Amino acid sequence: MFKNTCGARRSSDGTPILPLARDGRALRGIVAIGLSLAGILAPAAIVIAAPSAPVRGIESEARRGASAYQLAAHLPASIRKGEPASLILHVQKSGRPVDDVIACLAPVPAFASEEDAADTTPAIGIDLGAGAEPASAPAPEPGCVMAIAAVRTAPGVYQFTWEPDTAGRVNLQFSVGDSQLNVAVNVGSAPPNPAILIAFVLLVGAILSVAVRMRRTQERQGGST
Amino acid sequence: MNLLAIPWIKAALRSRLYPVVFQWITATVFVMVLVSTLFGPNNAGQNFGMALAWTVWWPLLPLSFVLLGRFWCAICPFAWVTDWVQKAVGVRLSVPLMLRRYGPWMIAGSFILLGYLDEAWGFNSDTRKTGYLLLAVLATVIFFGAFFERRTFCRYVCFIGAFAANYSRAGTLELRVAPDRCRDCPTQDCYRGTACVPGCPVFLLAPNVTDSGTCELCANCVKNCPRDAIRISIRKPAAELWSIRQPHLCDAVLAAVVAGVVLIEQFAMLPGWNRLIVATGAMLHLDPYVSYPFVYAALLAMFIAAPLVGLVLASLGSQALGGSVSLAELKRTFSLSGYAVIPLALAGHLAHGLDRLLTWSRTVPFALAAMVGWFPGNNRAAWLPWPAVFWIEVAVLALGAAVSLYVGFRLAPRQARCAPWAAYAPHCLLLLFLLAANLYPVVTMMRQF
Repeated sequence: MFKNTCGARRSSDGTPILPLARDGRALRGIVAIGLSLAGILAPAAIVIAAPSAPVRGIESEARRGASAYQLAAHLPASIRKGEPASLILHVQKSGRPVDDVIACLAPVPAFASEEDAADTTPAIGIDLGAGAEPASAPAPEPGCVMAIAAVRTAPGVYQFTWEPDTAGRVNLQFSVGDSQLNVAVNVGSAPPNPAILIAFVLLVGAILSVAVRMRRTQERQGGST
Repeated sequence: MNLLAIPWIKAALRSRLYPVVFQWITATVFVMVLVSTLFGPNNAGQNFGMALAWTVWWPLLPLSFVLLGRFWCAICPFAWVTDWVQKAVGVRLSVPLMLRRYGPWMIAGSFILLGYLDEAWGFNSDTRKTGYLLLAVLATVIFFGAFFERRTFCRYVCFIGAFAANYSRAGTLELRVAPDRCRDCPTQDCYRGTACVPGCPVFLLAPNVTDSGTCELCANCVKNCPRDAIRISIRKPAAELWSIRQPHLCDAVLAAVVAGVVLIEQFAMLPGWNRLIVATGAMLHLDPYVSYPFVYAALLAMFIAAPLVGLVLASLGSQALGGSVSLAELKRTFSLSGYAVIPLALAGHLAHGLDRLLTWSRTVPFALAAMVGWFPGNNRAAWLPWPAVFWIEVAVLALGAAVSLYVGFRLAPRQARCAPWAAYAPHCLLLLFLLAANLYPVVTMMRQF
């Protein structure tokens, strides 16, 4: 028969006095918990501290024939789901800005994954999914394939503002006359809400600190009796 | 068959590495899931944490309770967190009376809340919301670990307890004692623990264990027992359900609640779901899309109420056929007959989970690859073709219904003061109705494909 060889010290009611984590052990435990939380939340700090997206130029101009337009796009280096993004398109012909021949530019989003394509969730901005476009999206001008309408901001400069509601890789295709420009945009994920992360850390910190204080009080009372 | 008679199993369970090794693995995976859901891609299909949690872990959980009892609870990362927080800063207060008295109802409430958040607020399709949910559970676990003794959270609060207890009762594994060896035990180390190994984390005294609903199979009692009295045996599945000694009202309610929550999740996948939402919204004078959480709450209440009301009516029917109806007898009949619903509820849960497991879980390796920036093509193919998944689901439901009908048949003589067939007939009808309700979404989905 198995003999218990642990030799537990017991209190008056027979309950073994289990070794409690005191001093160094408790500290190690708290450090371990702190490190775990830090490990989980460190990426949050990186995400939150990251500078706002700089503007990047896309210089892949499309040229086709002598009468072709030259198209160049500028867009933020990172675009996030749910956050408005502006894309600037420069249209030139023979090195001069063109702003009188283009009534509409037609960006055509394509999809990185089937899940994106299947996503028909209505959102504030352009729904990149296969379903019906949301009513709140800007109305397309006649001839536009998709609902991202251009706003002319300067001679030959057109601004497209849209709010992607899915993450993944999106290809925008602009065509003016016979000229085309394809711009691949990586739509990143929205970061977690920092308020929730901070609330979690504060809550856990409060719980642990109250517990430590109560534990110390218990130990003092236990020591004095 | 006592598994502890097999030397290597006994040695493994008495080893200090059990269940720590498993806990380390699950804790590591949990951290990966948490980081992935909080900081990974928003796209659920490309998110490792989402894919693992909702298409593998969640569907496999009921199956693990049937095959291994509450072994998952022994290796759950939250149990590990509880133990560590307790070691570090634990105050170890006694469990409040309110929690002991109303714990099972809180578990039922938290399970309903989870089901509600899943569908009404899209928690199982939104990566960030899943991450926030995990953080909320983690904070709750830390709170209970810091202030209360043992695994108070696991025993009285954890939402998984809503089905873990009932499914484990229907399962094939049980921990019991050899009563002759426990007689006059002076130490009760299984409950109190020793200096080396803590006592039972879920407040059980091994000789008092008569059902498998609570024991986590952590093997602390196996390690502590000075008389080698613990037995872990393989048994006939569902046998415990018809031989239950003390039927509890909350177990019956939980069985019906789980059946209702699983049903609404299956119906929510049907093409006709939108019509149901619109009709319910019109009934409540609410815009079904703007006020979707409210409309869904009303539907959820109806789906949960249906099996509960059905069980009450069936119990009333049994009583009436027996010639007398009294509240005390009704409560007893309701509690007892609730155990017959468990296998069917389990089958519905398993069938619903198999749907996810056998089709969508293919995304897991692709999502894992995506975590390191590798995108190896199409990740949407299912493990099995739809017709195969359909027939497996139907077979699981049929098996569950057969076991439920058998359990009901065995329980009938204990239910009312009337002929067993009379006590059985109303419950038999209820079980057949529940089977039809579970089959409807499966068949409808299949016809779509």
